Order: sequence, then C-alpha cells, then structure tokens
Amino acid sequence: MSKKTTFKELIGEISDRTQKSQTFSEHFIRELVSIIEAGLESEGSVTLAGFGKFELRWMNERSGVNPQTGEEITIPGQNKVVFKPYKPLREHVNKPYSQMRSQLLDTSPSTSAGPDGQTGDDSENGEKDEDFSSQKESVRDDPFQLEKEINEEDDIDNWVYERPSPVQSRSKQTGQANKVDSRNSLAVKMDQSEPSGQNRNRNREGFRWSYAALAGILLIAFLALFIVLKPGQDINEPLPEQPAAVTEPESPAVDEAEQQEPAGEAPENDTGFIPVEVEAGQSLWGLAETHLENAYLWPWIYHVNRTQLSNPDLIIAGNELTLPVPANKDRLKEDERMGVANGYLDIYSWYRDTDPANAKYFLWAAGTFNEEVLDQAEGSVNYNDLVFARSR
Amino acid sequence: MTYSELIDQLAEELDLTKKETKSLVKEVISEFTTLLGEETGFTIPDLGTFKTRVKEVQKVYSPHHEKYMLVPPKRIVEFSPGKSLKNNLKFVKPANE
Repeated sequence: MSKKTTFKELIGEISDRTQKSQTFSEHFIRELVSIIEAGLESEGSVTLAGFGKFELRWMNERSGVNPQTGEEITIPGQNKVVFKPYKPLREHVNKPYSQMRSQLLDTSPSTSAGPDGQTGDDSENGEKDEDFSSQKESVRDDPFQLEKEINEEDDIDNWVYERPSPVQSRSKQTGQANKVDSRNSLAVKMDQSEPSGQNRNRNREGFRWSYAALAGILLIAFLALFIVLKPGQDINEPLPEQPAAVTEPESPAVDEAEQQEPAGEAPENDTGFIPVEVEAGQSLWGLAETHLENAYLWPWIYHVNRTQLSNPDLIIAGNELTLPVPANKDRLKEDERMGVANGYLDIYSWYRDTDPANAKYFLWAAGTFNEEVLDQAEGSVNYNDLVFARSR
Repeated sequence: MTYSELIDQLAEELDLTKKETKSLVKEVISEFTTLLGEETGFTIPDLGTFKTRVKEVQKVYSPHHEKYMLVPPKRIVEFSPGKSLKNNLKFVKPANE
C-alpha cells in the first residue's frame, strides 16, 4: 500500500517550512479547516488556489437496501463533499506517467481479460493498425474476450514491443498494478525533472544514445584532425596553444622515409646547423619534430632561413634549408631560445598582415621562449599585442 | 468562497496580516502537493483524507476513431471527507444553490 503520514508529522513539516511553532501550525490548520467548512456551508464551494476546490454536490434521493437486514430503504437526498484537484496538483502527482499516450487499437483488440498498456506515441492516425494485424478473427466478435480463455498465442507479449518500464517498481506498491507489470509493455519516457520520492528511475535508453553520439563526434573530430595533418603538405601546424598530443602524427614517419639524412649531428655543446632539402609533403613543424626533436621550435627554422622563406606556412619542395639543431634538446641555451623567439617574432610580423587578430599569439609565444625579445621588439610592434604578450 | 475571501477570513480569525496568511497557506498547500507527489497520504482532522491512487490502464471506445484505444495509467488524487464534515454538510442548503 502507499505511504501515509500522521497529522503530527504533517504539522512538524509545516512548522519547519514556515518557521513557526508546532502549536501555531496546528492551530492554523484547524482554523483553516473550520473556514473551509463554513465556506462550504454558506456558499457550497471553497477554492484553494494552485491546489483544488472543495465542492458540495447534491445527490438525489434513491432507493437502496439495508445490508444487514436486507430490507429496502430509501436513501434521502443529500450533499456530498467533493474535492477537485487543480492542474498544478494533478500534473505534479501524475508526473511519472506524464509521458504516456493513449494508443489506438485495431477494431478487434486481442488483449486478454486484464487491461494492458502499450508503448505509445500519439497515434491519432490509423497507421498503427499495421502493428496489430496479427490479431485473430475470433476475437472480433468478442472484443473483451469474455467467453474465451486466455490463449498463449494471444498473449499480448507476442506482438507488443516491450521496453523495461521504470513504472514497475513503483506500481509494486499496489496489488492491482501488478497486472500491468506482468505485461510490462508500458514505455515511459521520463523527463529529467525530479522523480517522486522513492524511486529514482531513469531512462536508460537515453544515456546510450548520448554516449554513442558523443563517441561519434569525438571520432569525427579526431579523423578530421588526422586528415588535416597527415598529408602534412605545406600547411604548417599552427599556434603554440594547440595541444601537442594529437599533432605528433605522420610527418615524422613520412619524413624519415623520404629524407636524405645527413650523417653528422652537431657536436655536444654547440648548436648544430644541418642542411636539409625539403621534400614534398614536409612542413617546418614536421622538420622541427624530426631534427630538433621538438616541433614547437619550428619558428627557429623559419628565422634561420628567413631569407629563403616568406610565408611561414609554405615551404617549397626543393628548397635547401639550414636547420638549427640544439646542443641539448632538453634544455635550450639562451641564444638558442633567442633564435626561437625571434622566429616567433618574424611570424608574428608576417601574420600582422594576413591575420592580425591571431598574430598576437605568436608574439606571446615569442615571449615565452625569451622575454628579452619582447623588450627588443618594443618599438616595432603593435602596442596592444605587446600588452597581451606580456600579460601571460 | 473564493481564495481571497478565505484568506481574509483566516487572517481575521488568526489576527495576522493578509500577506502573512497568504504565504502560510501557500506553504501548507505546497507541503500537501509535495506529499501527494511522493505518494504519501495524509489526514486532516475534521476535513478528510488525501491520498493518491493509480488509475489502471483502460480500454475505451473512441467514437471519433471508431476504434478501441488504450488509455495509459494515471496517478490521481483522492479525497474522502471526514465524518464530521460529511455529517455537518449533508443537509445544508448553501445560499448559491
């Protein structure tokens, strides 16, 4: 059976809510009741906004039987008190079932004696009929199957699409509702708003789809990045802010396969400079990744080869570039860092013409490698960009 | 009796401002609604019992569609008046009737 609270507990709750004493709350309620009664007596109806309406309804005189003696009696005409809940209350109470809809059946429904529910979207049109074509002829004459015994084949389960119903556990509380459970074909798309007290059922179906969608989107995003990077063309990898992780990809492998690797690496304590001929599909980023062991140093290459290169995103196959290789790849020397910073500065200058809005990021990057470059550049760069770059 | 009339009378009886009684009544109603939302029944002495009940799925005939249809289950509020209320109001003739 469903729950109940005592009047005392109710008073307690109300006292808590209203911050009044229990005595006060009780008195309040009793007074309210007496006014409702008075109102009904004088005017026949009492309204409580947002809750409902108490009404007196007249029942006409009727004949009846005394259950104890069996003799006939006349039940006099009298009023009865009736409560009519208003919409907010109705909707709040019906929340768990709010998503269900009626469903049309074919003219000869083949349901068994107990009424059953089905999944429903609004089926105002006759299209649903196709679902029920498996019904038997014999049922047409006897739609409620009062004569017939329940046959396994007629079992609603066979032709009704079942979905696990969150309603189940709830309705276990009332004996009658178990009939519905066994058929178990009521779909409830619960809205996400607060479920009623005991059972926090959720729509499991919904989660799966959203996970799948998320996975799909991530997959596409990865693929997109992949495709952008793989050809590794002359499109150079952009701003330093972007995560390095995804951008390590193919270029090194490609480079390795195709390049002529000059044998000598730089001697230990000096920056080395190695000549490299650019092959198709390579980028400064990729070259930096391979030879400098750090793709982010690509502006350094740009800087060193400034005379040959104009657009930092575009290197031409066949160019011979000199790659500066750091003495110690894990720890750049001051002047090496200066080189990188200058590279970023050069790029910044380039982008000022083509993409001024984003140019400042390069200036900022320059600053991260070597702050001095910002001071040096003071006279010749955009003031706002400089402020941004310094503000890191 | 309208809501505002009710509030007025209540305020007078309790010697409170209308504003305050209104908010108190609102709180009470909200508490009732919450309880009913949680399927908790409650009884108010001399008024009656409020509880919820699930209306079973029903097969009904729709003349418009000329078909039977299944009406989904529904949870409704039930009120049964208390004895004193019932008896007191059985034979009264309210002015509006």
